[in-house]
Amino acid sequence: MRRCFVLGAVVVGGLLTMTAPLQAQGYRVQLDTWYMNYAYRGYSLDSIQSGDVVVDPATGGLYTPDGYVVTCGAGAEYCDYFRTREQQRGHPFHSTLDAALWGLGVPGLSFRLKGRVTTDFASDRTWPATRPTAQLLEGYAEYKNRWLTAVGGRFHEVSRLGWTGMDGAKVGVHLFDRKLELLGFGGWGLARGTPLPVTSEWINPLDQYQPLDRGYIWGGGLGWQLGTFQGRWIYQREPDGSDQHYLFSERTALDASWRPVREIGVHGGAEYNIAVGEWGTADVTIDYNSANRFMRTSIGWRRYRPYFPLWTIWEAFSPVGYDAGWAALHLYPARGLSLWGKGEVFGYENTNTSTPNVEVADGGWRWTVGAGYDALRLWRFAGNYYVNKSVGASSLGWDLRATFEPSRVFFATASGGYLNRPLEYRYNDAKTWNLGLRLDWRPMPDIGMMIEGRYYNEDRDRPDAAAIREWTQFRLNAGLTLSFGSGADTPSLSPAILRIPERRSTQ
Amino acid sequence: MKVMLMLAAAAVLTAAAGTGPAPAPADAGLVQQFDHVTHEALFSSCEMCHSVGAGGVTYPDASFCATCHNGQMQPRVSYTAPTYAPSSNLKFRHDEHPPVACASCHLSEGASAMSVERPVVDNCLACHGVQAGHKEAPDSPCQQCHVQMPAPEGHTADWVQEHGDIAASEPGTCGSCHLRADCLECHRPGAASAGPGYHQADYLSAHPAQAYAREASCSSCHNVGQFCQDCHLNAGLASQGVTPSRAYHDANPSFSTGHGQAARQSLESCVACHNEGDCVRCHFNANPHGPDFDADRIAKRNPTSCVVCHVGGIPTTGGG
Repeated sequence: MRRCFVLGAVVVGGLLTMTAPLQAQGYRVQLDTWYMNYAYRGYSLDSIQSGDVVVDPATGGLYTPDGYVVTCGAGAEYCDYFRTREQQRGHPFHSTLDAALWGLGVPGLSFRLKGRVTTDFASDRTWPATRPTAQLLEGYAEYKNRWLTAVGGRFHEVSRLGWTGMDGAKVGVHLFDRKLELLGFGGWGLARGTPLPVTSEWINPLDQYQPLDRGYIWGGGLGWQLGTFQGRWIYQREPDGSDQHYLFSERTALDASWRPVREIGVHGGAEYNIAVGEWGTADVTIDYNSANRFMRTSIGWRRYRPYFPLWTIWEAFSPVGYDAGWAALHLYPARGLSLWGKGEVFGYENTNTSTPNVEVADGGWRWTVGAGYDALRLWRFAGNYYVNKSVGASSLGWDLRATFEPSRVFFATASGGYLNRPLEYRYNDAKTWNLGLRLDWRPMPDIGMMIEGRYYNEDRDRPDAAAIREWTQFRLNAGLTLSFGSGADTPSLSPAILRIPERRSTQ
Repeated sequence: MKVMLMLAAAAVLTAAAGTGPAPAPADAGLVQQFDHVTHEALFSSCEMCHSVGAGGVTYPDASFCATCHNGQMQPRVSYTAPTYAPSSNLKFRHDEHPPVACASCHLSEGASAMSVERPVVDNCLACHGVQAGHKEAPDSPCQQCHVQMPAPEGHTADWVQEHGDIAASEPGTCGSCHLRADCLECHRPGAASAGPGYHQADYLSAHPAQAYAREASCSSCHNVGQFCQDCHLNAGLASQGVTPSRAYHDANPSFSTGHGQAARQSLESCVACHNEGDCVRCHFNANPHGPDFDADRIAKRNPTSCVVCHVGGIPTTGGG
């Protein structure tokens, strides 16, 4: 954490120091603040003497006399169970600062800072990832010109291998009018999906085995473009911080895309986990866009296999992946009217296990259909219906959304949905419906605010005393986005994004 | 792995071989039809052939060429003066732009007088005070110079959920309109924002099914410990090391003795509630490795996790 704060202080100090004396500088700051009020189940861990346990004659299940399912270890004197309590409410609050500074007398040089203050005003701070309170997401200096990109500080390298965070540096060289790009990077690594190192206590709530020292990371890659073909290759290695002969991970990946004609594109890629000797996630997609813009369709195959770093024990359990074939179709039969559907069938690889006591499926399928209409002057509508039939993940539901937009600065979206979510292996079939209203107001180009209220009603089909509707609740979301600085007269997102109905409703 | 390296190497060599002079774009107009450099000695200024009028730039007609290319002095040529401006996404008209020398836009720095190009981006940026690189500039909205492009037809309401495959494999295409910062609006570690962003409004109820089936890779954005385990712990779903594994899997009292297939299929879901100690407690004596498990390979790269169970020494051959 100390390195995190030092790095943040250096970047902030640099920004402030350079603000005063330099001419023709520019800056942009966006402050994104969000507050939520939500409910979560209250519970307490309790126990009962094993002699007081009641056996259900129908199922053979074990219960407390007042109806809670209990878990009894072999020969244990006491059996454990979770007793429900009053519903609790949380109040998470996040404020994210995104600042950029440029025009420092060196064309192409800029500084970037992205940090967040986060907390939960509830005393037990239940919202995830609210510790530590101050988090430096990114903070780096960047130099770019026609041939070179150099970055130093905390940043994320984005590739098929994911969003890899590090405190370090990277250099990219662009050749032949950017048709060939060479990349190299290195530094101290951050844990996956977080701005914290793997040694941080805040990413280990269950007290797992953690490395003693933070790991390193280095890698490289290249990208090339030949006409309508684009390809990217990346290699990434994370040496163990305690002993660099050992690794946290070593992976490589290849991405490619080819559009031989305007209407048809082929995209795909694959990861390979060198450390484990296993192929990882991979996919290939062929898409077709009709020239008359009546139809867009795609068909593809994908494989998913989880990735675990070697400082965990999980690779020793031989996780398997699944292969899925899918197809999607979008139709635009009339002005403003969109119809879409997607279906996928998947099957797991052989787990080489024999588990007669538990029935587990080897695959599943899922599909969704939807429609949208946005040709009216003030209204837009959209809806989806989806079904998912697969091991551990079956669900069925629908959602509807209507947006009223009387002006470019104000719009209101009413939405609702239903979800039926049976889960295997536990008493917890749940039916949930929700209804909400969201108001968005952008009184000035650099000020945006939103407020959303949503009611959730849940019906849990449990055969025991825990079958209370503990998750039925009202949720409140409120957000404020401020942008200021030179050139801040436009929203941070590009116009292309803002014109997407889904994105427009969230800005 | 070797195949991948060979593919990468082959692609680089192919790219290097194909990186000669870039072919002229189909709508390159004057650049394609008229070789300015060859005629450098004849024309001392752009104005000898071009002017800017109400309709844009004027071009000489074919008869002007024929004064030399008459079949006697020089071979005849086929030339048609452009009647319209080349198509582009620039928000620019010659007759509306403040008058500047042609070279200000059409010559690279240090180029000879007739090495005419399409507008040189760096020149535009320099004049307009844009300090950062093209397509990377935090200081300039694209529409300062470019027409505001409508979203492509494919960007329908569900595009937010669908764009992943194409964005991963075709970033150059996305880069035509989007900056990296646009991606980071949703794709940032432990994303928190005022809007639903990537997830739909009722995602909290829907996430168990989607997470179990890994329709999307949760851990690309969310750290499992910081996000999944932390929340499940507070919701009474995580094991906490106190209650053995059956508390959650209450509909099947035999789950702990038959969980192997489910665990290998969706280990990431197990990890969202169970810590390593939960599993080691039994697997210390029960071999968890599949038949294809390459124990030697992993032990060579990091034996730390091996010695959690193999405290007396790591076996030299793997397998189930």
